[in-house]
Amino acid sequence: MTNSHRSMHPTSSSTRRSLLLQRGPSRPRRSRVGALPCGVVAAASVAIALLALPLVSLVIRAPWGQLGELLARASTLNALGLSLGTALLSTGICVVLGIPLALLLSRTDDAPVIVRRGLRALVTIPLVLPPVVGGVALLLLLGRQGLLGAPLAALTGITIPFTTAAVVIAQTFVAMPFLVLAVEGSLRGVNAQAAIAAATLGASRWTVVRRVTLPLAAPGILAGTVLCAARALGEFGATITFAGSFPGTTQTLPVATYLELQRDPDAAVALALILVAVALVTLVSLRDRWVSGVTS
Amino acid sequence: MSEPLTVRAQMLARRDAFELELGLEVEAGHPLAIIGPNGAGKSTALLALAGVHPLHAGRITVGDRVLTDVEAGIEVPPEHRRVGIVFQGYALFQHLTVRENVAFGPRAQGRGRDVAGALADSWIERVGLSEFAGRLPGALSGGQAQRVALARALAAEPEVLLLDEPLSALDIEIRDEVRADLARYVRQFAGVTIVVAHDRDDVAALADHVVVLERGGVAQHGTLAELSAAPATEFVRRFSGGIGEPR
Repeated sequence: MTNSHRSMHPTSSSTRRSLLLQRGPSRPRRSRVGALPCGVVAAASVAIALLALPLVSLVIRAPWGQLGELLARASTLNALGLSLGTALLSTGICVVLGIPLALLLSRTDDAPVIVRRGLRALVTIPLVLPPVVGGVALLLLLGRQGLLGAPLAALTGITIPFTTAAVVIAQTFVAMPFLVLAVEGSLRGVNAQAAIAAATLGASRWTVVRRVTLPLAAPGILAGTVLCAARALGEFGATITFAGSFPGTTQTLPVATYLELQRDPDAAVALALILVAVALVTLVSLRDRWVSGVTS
Repeated sequence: MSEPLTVRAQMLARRDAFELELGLEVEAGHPLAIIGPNGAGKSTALLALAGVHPLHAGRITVGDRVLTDVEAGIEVPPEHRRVGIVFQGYALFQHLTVRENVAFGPRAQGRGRDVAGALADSWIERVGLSEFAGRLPGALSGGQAQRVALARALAAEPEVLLLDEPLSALDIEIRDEVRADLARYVRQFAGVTIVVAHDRDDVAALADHVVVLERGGVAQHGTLAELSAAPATEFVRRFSGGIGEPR
């Protein structure tokens, strides 16, 4: 603590001036791509093709002529409505539960290493776990014979799997880490002394969090929420495993896309285009913010 | 007439392997400076007084109020101590305007929006920044930001004002002027002031007494003149000689 704020010395004016000088117009241009070895450029080109060509083919082969008719179908609108509704709900749950978790994680520096690492691993697991495994795990917890599902069914008669609620739970499970990690990174960037100053001014812990800490972390919260919503909207593996694919109740856009591919490929492509559009909107709305939000 | 408001502190604080042991008695109107090499425990002492860093043992009182008494299990939280702090980097709320920053204390203490706003305006005027009231902190110079931090702390009506190297982040060209202003505000403050500093001129302008902290303990205390006359350690000798803090 004693020394931590020393790093926050604003750059002295002389340093700042010399940095400005370096950025002046006379500075030589950056080295060009041509300076890289040919092999590197070739491999990078293949990587670019690998990333771009599938999307290009999707756009080229899309049934543009019948797109209006395909998108206006009741089944499409059902899937779209269900996807938007469930993703909105699961994102809301992620925000309400994930921000407190991010706050907790950002204050674990004094906790024993095992607690700190354990919590972090737990939060990160859904990121690296195949979603279908997540779906199986949710079944084992909340299924009719599940750890919690069995007593729940016995006591109330409520079963969760293969309902719209199951869709929301599956989406929440896979999307939560995106929100938590983005918000936590952002919280760690918040000046801890601002929170201390707020407390000495008379603010309760709750006021400090609400009026200082979270507002200062707002960019990360926004980025995390958008990423979380995009992930929830695209959720497939855990959803089809835990919630199935009943049109109108659990058949979300990604699930419908997969199923239509066998029945009506044109319809599948049309559905896929909606998901591509959502991804593009996400990217544009985040621009470069998500990198700093998630990795900082 | 009762005695002036006095801070009495006996503090034993630990941070990992580091141990700070410090006794203080500071009266209102006679500001104290804490000096010492980096890592001597100066900032830890301030954070302990503010109730942010827990004490391992000891007792802190302000007048009749007991803020911390480890043995009796008393630990008044920072928001109820009436101990204000100005950090070296000022720690302004970057998302709030200057007026909102200064009104934060009164608001947090339950004053209405209008009352808090009026209080903030009067403090902002007192530090000469009225035309900047609607600006965000990012638009301020270092000297202006420091005055906002000071106004913000004073608007919360603290009994104790802690200044953690309040001039160290400033460019050398403006430092004399800002120091003179700060000294004026500190001298007008009715409560107890404790300032951490490492510059002899800052200490001379802001404080009447000096405590020298080295390796977590008091190496010497007295006025600047007393320190100069009989420096107890190499650090004090260099400090008094005007050579400055060894780095």
